[in-house]
Amino acid sequence: MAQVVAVATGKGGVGKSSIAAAVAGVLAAKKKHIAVVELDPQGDLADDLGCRDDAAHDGGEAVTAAIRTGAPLGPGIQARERLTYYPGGPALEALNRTPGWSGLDSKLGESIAKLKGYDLVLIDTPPSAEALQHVSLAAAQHLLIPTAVDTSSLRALYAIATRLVEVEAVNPDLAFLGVVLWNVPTAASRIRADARQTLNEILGDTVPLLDTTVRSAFATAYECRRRGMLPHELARLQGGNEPFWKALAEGRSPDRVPTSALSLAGDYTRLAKEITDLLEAAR
Amino acid sequence: MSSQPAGLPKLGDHLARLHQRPAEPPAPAEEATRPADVSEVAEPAARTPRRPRLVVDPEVGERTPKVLPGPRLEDAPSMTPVVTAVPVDSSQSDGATVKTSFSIPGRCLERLRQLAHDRHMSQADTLMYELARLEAEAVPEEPMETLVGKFTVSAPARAHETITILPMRLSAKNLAALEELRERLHLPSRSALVAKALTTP
Repeated sequence: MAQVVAVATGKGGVGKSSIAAAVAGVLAAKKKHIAVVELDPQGDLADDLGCRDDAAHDGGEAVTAAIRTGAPLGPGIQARERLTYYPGGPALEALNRTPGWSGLDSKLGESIAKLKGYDLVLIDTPPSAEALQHVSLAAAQHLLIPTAVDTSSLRALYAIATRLVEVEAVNPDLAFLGVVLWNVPTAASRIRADARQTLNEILGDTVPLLDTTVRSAFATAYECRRRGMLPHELARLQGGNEPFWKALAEGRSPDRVPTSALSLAGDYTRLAKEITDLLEAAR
Repeated sequence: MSSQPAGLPKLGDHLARLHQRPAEPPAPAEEATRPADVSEVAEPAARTPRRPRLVVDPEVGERTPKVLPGPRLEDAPSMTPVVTAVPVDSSQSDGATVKTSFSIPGRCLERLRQLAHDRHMSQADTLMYELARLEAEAVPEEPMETLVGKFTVSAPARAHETITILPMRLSAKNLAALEELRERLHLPSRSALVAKALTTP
């Protein structure tokens, strides 16, 4: 049976979708069968996976139905070989706005249990929609928390911890998988060390801080979403970078891959390995 | 000294407090309809307590960030390699580019700066562009006679020419292309190639 990991925290812009997409992509490339269920009404994961215009993109209808009734999630979008994407979208926003709905009665876990043949199911969550966070945590076995180094992001850890306690009644087995530090500039070594020290103090023995820190690589992140590619896919193109001057000499714009793509892909590869090891140990 | 920002308690304490609280129904989606819980405001205990600052474990305080190994896909031969590493043979490499330098006449450096400025390009890109132009136009020179090793007998001497050092970062790919072009044009050094590219009208 697939292990289910919710990627969640109480703040936006700290890498939830990026991590979910990149880790799923790396593991799929390593012959694992991965499903990614998106609970974000914004549906940003579609940009990461390059599936925004896919004909099967239903704006979150299938996921919404699964949350309401436990209906099968359907075929989803085959985003990559061995990687299935169940998109979020506006339908989830309508669900989230239902007055009085807490999300604790979600049937998403039943729908995920019906998925067959997957090694891992990742749930990408919205930053602030409390009910949808309940949905994701109620359906998951493990919680992976991405965070940036700033104090606001660190405070968001408490928000998601509060959600975890709130869903204990319906999902007592949910456990912390770890916290991953995301988007740290490589040159900011002192800040990175301080942030890791701070996190170690805050987390104590409660939650492990993952060894992998995902670096900040703006150009690569920009190119990834522009092309609908994942970092490791962009990194593969780096070897085939045509000399830019040849493009200029032919009157074309050079199509270059940012040099940071390889490093960022390495970070996500290490992160995927670390997550896999933790999940293996938790079995 | 602890780096823990004031007001951020241990997560374990936070969870313990949540568990000690009587079970609260989760907030409904419509915030406006929820009556304000006055006790949360009035009760000091409900606020995040100021914790005494922790004494830092010296091991933690002095620990340097762990040097992480690179992608170790080779550890799992059955796995499909996800990332193909670009080999960079330099201790000064940052993983993508290689630090190198060229000894070129001052007028070449001036020309490089001018071209880069005019084209709104970096000096490295300008240099590679000029090399590409040279590659298309230049005729290979006759191989120079060599005495021993790489010293040549017919290296042209330039009297009264100020030689300047041009430090530059180039990608491993560009550096390899540069070396290949140098060999093809039978030039004695990379610096000579760069100087030739920047003096060829």
